[in-house]
Amino acid sequence: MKKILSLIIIYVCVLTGNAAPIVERADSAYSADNFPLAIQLYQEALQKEGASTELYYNLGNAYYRDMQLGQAIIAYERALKIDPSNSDARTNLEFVNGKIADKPVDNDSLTEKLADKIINYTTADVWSWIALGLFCIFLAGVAGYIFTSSIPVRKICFFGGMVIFVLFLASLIVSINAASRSVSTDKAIVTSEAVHLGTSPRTPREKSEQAFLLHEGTKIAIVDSLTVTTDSLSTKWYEVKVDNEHRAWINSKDIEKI
Amino acid sequence: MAAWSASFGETSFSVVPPRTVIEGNNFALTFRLKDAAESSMPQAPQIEGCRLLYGPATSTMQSYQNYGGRATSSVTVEYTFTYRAEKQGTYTIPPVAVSVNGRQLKSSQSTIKILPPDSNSSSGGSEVHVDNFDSQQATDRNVSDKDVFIRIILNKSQAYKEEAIECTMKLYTKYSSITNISAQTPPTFDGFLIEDDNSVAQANDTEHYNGQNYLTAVLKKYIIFPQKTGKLTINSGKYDITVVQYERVNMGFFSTTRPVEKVVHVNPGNLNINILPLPEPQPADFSGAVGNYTMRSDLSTTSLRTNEAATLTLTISGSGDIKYIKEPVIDFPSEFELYTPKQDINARVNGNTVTGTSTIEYTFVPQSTGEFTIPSAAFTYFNPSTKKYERLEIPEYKLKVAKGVSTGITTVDQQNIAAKNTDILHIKLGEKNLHKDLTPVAHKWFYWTIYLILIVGMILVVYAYSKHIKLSADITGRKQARANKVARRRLKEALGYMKSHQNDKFNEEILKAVWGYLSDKLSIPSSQLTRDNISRELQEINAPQSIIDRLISLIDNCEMARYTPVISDESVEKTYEEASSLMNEMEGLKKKSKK
Repeated sequence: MKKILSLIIIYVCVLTGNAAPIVERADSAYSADNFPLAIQLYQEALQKEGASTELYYNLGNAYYRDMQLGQAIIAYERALKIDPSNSDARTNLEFVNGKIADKPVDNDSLTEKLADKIINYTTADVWSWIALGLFCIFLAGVAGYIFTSSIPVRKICFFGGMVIFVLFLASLIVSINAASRSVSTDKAIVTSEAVHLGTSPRTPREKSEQAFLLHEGTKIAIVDSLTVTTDSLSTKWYEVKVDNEHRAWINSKDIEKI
Repeated sequence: MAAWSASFGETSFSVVPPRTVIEGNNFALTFRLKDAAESSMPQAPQIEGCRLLYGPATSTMQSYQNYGGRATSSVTVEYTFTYRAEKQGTYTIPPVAVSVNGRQLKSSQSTIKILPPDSNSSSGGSEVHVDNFDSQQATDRNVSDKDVFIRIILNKSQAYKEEAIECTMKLYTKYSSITNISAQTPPTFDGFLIEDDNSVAQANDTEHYNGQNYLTAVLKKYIIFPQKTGKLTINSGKYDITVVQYERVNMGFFSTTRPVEKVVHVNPGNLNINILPLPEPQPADFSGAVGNYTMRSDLSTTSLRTNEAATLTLTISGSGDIKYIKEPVIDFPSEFELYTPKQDINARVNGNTVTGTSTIEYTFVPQSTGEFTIPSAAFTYFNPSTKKYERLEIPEYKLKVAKGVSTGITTVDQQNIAAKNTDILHIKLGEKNLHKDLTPVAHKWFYWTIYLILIVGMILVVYAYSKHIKLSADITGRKQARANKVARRRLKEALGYMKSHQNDKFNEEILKAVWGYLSDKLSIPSSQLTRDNISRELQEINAPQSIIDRLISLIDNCEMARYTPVISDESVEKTYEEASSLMNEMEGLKKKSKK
């Protein structure tokens, strides 16, 4: 245990010791209004030193200032994927979403919104630790019930333990959901300025094959994927949906997964 | 005669030229000399394209006025030269000098325009001519809309949006006696804002149009401002014009004339004009005004007190769509309470545009003390003559606001914090907590191992504890289990004493061993043990009578031996063997009975 702890400490030290220069340079480039350089440095930090919600948030800001709205939205979405409770990233995402060509569709039901609210309250890890803590309390209740002879204490332990167990199950479900959300790659952002989605997995050749038109920055959900090979040139196509009703095929080069 | 000379006004000499003359006609050029007592005769000027026929003819006018006891008189001498216009064109009438009382007076230079004569049309004999009164009177000729018509004239064929266009309604007629003009349908200007010119006072003039000479008169003048781009159409309406002709009536001895009214329906037709959009790119602060303007700004005071009103006045003057100028937006500090700007427009038609001033008053009341800056603003307009956007700057003003005498009654309601939300939030500075591995804890094996460890640990603890409970629940059982062990230890000690021949110690240990063993085995405290209850308890656990008897006798022997000084080694050994064999038997017995 001690060994692991010291390893973690060394790891953290190494991280902070290395991360400071690139990220700090990027921050100062942003403050000096040199946004292309800031973007480049943030990307470098992402590659070399790993990611965090704050880094993606700053990258999104730099992209927005550089007028790359699609990339800005991707960065904000990634920041929120790591930490859904990052309220600054959410504010900026909503602001940038108001600037793009397509109006975001809102087709979540009331229960889905409630679930979102709960899951987005904090990070998946915090939910996991909450679940573990509740489980420990539950075990303590079990122990109290088994090991004490006093009737009121046993009663408290029994009913309290039941309540805690239900809470534990709930938070465990939330944490599993939040965790799968934070690693899922089924959401994507349109990166092309404007793209016609096809009714079948190929470039629309005539009007009737065009499903609908999407613009840069629109969020879509990937339902299915297919690789089409023509003339030894394989293209990947995704079947995506914008809202609950509309589905269409889009070329993988026109979108970027969050 | 004395009063005569005393009240003479200032001497003046001027020329009264005709403005237009038709070629082949005679015309009179008159020089007017006013209030000159004595003068020389003016010389006839040499006018190109004209031939002097005769002159000067002199006429004198005298007037005498007595007004409020003051007598004024004037005398005007007119010298008229008659010329004949011989060649069309525009010519200069040179100044003419005259000497009055030894002083030289000069008339101003003027121009004369000689129009070509009417070109002959195919209709033949019965032509109507402006310069031929008889031809106008002949009733045998129909008055056509070629002879009398109305034209609508625009001063430009294309214009920018919002640019002022002069639109003139002009009557052209060959008949000088027109009694009535009435509009059946008034003109309509779709897509234009209209400014009426009510001050039309233009002398009738002869004009050459389409090879014919006409008398003209401006009926109406509008200044119009196009509001749309593209091709706009002006519908000029329909008019009825009444022309009076004179019919010659023969009454036997003499003939007379009788007026005959003839009505001509005139339709000037539609007029198209191409309206250009304002050039791109438009400046961000373009106000929409088109014209030519100047601006003055004036702040009533630069130091004031809270709750005292001050005014910033902008005066925009110039020509163009001044009546439709929107007030420039000035970004007053938010600590100022602002009133709606008051705009006062004073403009009228002048020439071919609208000229005037627009005065805008921004009244504000500072609500807090301090030093404030009214930032500079601009009024940007488009100048169609230079085809450029021009920017008039309102300078920056600095204000000092001191505390007012009275706090005043706050008339403003509390204001909500205006959330502007016009930009993204700033980046996060400082530590970014970068991690390469972003796998959530719930997807790592160690997280679930913790659960497993906790559950297994819990089960082990519960199992161990339940066993502990079982044991501690029956103390006697434990003691019984321990009894033989304790007794054996005592016997071992006793054996040690036996070997060292310490008789009383030996017997004591044997007794202790037996009593202790029985106490543990029968769960009776050793203090309460008697020979009676031992035998009774042993009987209860079905111990054979022989064992009970042997036990009692062993106890008796030992107690006796303790007080007997000399005992043979044999008997000691016998006692020991008896005790140990008894315990062995009792141990087996106990187990049996338990079953």
